Amino acid sequence: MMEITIKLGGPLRKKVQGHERGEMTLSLPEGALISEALTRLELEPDEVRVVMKNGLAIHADEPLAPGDRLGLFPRELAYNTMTAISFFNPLARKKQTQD
Amino acid sequence: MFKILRVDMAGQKAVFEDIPEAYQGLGGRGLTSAVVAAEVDPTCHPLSPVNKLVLAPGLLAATNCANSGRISVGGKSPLTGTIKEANSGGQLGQYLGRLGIQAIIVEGQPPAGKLFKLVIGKDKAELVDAKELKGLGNYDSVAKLKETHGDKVGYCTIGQAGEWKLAAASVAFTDMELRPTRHAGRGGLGALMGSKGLKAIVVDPSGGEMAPLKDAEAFKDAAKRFAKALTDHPVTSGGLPTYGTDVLINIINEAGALPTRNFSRGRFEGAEKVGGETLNEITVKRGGNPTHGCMSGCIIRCSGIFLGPDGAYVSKWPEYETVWAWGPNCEIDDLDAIARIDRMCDDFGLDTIEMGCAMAVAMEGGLVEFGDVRGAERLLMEVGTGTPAGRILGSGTAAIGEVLGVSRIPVVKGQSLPAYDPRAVKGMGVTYATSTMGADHTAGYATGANIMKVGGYVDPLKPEGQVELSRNLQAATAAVDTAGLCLFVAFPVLDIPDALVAIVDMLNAKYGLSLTTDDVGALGQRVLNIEKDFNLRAGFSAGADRLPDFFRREALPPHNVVFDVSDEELDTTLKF
Repeated sequence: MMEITIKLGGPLRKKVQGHERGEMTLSLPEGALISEALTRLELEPDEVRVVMKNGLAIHADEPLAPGDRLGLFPRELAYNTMTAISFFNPLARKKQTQD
Repeated sequence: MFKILRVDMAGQKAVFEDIPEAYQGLGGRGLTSAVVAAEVDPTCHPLSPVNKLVLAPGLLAATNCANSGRISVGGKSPLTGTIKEANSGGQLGQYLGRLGIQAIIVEGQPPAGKLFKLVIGKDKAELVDAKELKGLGNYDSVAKLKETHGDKVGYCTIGQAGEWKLAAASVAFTDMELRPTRHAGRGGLGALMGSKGLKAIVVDPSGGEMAPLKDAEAFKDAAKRFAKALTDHPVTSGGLPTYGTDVLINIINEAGALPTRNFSRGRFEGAEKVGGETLNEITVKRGGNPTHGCMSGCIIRCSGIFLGPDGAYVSKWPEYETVWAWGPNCEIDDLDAIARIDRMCDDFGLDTIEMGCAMAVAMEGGLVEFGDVRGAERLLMEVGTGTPAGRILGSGTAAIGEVLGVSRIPVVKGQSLPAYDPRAVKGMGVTYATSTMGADHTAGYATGANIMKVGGYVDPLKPEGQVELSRNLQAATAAVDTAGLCLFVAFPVLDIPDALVAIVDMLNAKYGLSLTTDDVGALGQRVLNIEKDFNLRAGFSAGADRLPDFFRREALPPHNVVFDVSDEELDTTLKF
């Protein structure tokens, strides 16, 4: 098993249990994928519009390593293009630009 | 019915004029920049009688279009020496629109020591002696003005910083509750207003009317579609009205792009304590209102009301930029302190971004310790009382840095950088470097899917694609500022294709035009070309479009990146 850190933004804090001011640790099997972390948090990929792994954008369902940090933000906080940063979640099924 | 109000401060006359051909089809930033470029000598000293202060509501003012009441303020900037437009919410944009006033142009100077207020009503305007307001902050000025003019009007005022012509001085506008909390903050336009001996503008909209529409039915339909886009989009209907713009603290911190301790790190340990989630929580707990509009006609309503621990009003919700400038950038993790500081800046009439950056540089220079709330408040208070140290701080980030011998001064063209580190958000870095305004996030902050020709993903940490991204963002923003729309309409405009079409349909229905969405980008380019030409004549060549050198030398943790978009690429940004 390994431990990773989760940071939740805005309304996701109401959906996920067990965090302290949006932050929590999660135990997962070694090599677990980002999608498995979301499943453990009982979050649908479409509920998480912005994903950052260690402050970086992800491009696919990547494996996690011990000590990784996942930043998860919902659609209400999807400020991507406004800030010239694109952190859209590639795991979301709906088209990103049509909320 | 649209007129220009020309105000001669030397002769104390105010007269209405028809709008010259050259200014037709422009409003907001487009109009202020066109007037400044045509009528102001670009080489003049910004505080000389030759400079002009221009105020203009946008093209969609005084209509039922949602979020269309922004007011632009322009002139040659006392802070940067470039052309300047800063825009604000509040009531004045809509009120001027209802009176058919497309622009106010203030020129000349009265005899030294004289102070006036400009009182505007339906088809009338006069300059009235305002010596009773001398030395007052914005809150006291408005309270005093209300004794004479009542509460059915809108006020625009300057505080002590404007009267003393400090380069970080702002121009304040009252919100729906007549609080002077909305500011055209950037570039020291309050100092320009102060140099004109103009302390206040009072606008009584009674007898005015909504703007005439060439096709009322078509306008109504388009306005409805536009409003629907704003109420449908999760950011404008959920994120902003719940957490305010401060919601960005945790996101930008997570991205490692939140400038901390005078731009030396990209993450702040105390971010959570000052972020939008916390702001919402303490506001609700204290009985405040997280969902409040800064102007009538706003349906986003992101400007909450901040109450102190005792439940008494302190300030409007500090914006993300304010929280960042005084919080992470000064290593202060106390929202109550930041709200008090926001109130002080609003009262003295100061740009919160410029002042927060100036304070961080003062901290680096050893005047105050990083994280020292009391020390920061004490020094800021000196700006209001006018001590020499206060006046130097109020002259901006570059001024205090030079006086203290600090070499890490985060400014472009003399204006401080806002809340996104250009090393970790390189598109923003390109905008800071090349904007006609000096370092300005709002200059390239918005876009529309139909305008932005950039396809796919642009990595914020890599130089590729940033110039094209910034170019399209800057043109789109200039168009939004010209329409007088709140910049946050950009969220639905980006994500919901009909939102941009609805804006164009409203412009066509109001003015009897046949614009297409392609014309929006062209309008933005026209405005930028006007501004670039002024700056060139003022002596700003391409060499001025650079970030301070430390951004290329010092790597920013946690991603350990430097700014590496080449000078050659930067120079192509605003070539249309």
